[in-house]
Amino acid sequence: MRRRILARTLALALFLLGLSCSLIPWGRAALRTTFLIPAFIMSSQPAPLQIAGEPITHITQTINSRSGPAYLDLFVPTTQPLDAGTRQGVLLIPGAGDHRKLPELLNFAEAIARTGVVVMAMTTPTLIQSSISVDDTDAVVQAFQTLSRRPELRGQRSGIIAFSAGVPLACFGAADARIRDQVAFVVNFGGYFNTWTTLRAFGYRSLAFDGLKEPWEPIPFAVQVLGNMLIPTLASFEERETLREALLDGATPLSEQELQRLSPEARAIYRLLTGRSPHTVEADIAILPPETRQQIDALSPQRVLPELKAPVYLVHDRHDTALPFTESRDFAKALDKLHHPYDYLEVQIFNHVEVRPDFSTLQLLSDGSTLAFLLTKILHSGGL
Amino acid sequence: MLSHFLVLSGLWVAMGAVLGLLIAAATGRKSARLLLAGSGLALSAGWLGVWLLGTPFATPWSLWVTLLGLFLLARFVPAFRLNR
Repeated sequence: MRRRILARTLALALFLLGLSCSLIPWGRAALRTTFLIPAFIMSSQPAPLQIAGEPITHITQTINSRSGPAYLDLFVPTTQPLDAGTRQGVLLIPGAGDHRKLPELLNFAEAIARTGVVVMAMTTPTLIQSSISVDDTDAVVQAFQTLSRRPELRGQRSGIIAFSAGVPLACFGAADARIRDQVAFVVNFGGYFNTWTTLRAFGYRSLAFDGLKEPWEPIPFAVQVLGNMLIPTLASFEERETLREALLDGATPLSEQELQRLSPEARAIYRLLTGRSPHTVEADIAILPPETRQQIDALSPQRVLPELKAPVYLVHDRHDTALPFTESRDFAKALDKLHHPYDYLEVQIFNHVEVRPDFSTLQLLSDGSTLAFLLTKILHSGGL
Repeated sequence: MLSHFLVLSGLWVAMGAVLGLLIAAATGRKSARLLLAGSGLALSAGWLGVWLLGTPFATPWSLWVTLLGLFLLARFVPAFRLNR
């Protein structure tokens, strides 16, 4: 009799589990999360996802935008279910550099696609050259519209997931009047909010938050990318080349004499980027040329905040050495002030946007569960 | 793609057999027919799930449909009510 009750209880539990994971939106989102979290954390696709996931195909495409070509990598499930609501889209915008063949990005895109979502990863020549341009907003809009027109989506809304330097582009695109009503959600992972405060963090080599000051040393690549954003605004070709070379990874820092030979504007940019003179940060900022100031203003996601309609999900590594975590905190505070739907998650198991190899089990359990909860919420809110 | 669905079909058949045993235990019927019916139901429900909802949701769909089907068979179909 006891065995029968136990079997009935188990059968009922399995029945409810199957019902909720296949038909109820929250359950479906939770099932997708169960597939995705191990793939995201382990940077490989677990066997259950490979067996129970969709077979997918990879298509490359190039489209034209106002700023030039945009390179698209599509990961599309090959079967088409009867339920039109099961296929939705995600536009991935990776950071600066050429990530088109990066195993982590390919794995992430493929894993999402295997859960039945049409995934499009995009990049532009500017991003590939490790810089960011406001002009690439059109490329994001065009890519989003190309994704939305896919026959598999049948007019469903799509979300945008951006990493690092892709975050400002995701915000500019999501705020654009042409697509802002179609964007289901925006996920900003390890990005920045305000170029001015980011530049100050680079200049001071420290972060100020909650009344505390914490030393902060950015990685050389981050310095290079910020340099690529600001240096082109200098008038002199020679100075642009000098600064570009001086900021390359492993380059010898400019000597005091070389620094003195530069114009005050170029010297200010160099000192801010390299953190060479924390006590002159405000003075250096004050003498930046109007073109540089304009560029800094234009590249701040803060600028388009009032135009954003989609819920924003922010994730940032607490010990990020590429972009300060305080940027995402500021982003969250600004969204909160505007009563804009958002969520902010601070994690410890990442190194900027990649999983650290040396995280502890406790950190994994803590971050894994909060990430899983956030991902379920994102997938559910996006109707995925 | 074919091997992918073959593996999945095998999984559904095995799952159906286990669910058949579970329903047999839950209803007190020892009929081996439940095991066979479970396999057949799970396989058909799995493919129906792929067609209706997509592959990721086909297994949970097959799970509850098979359980419901087995329960109804055990409860209302005389051939499944025999204790053998």
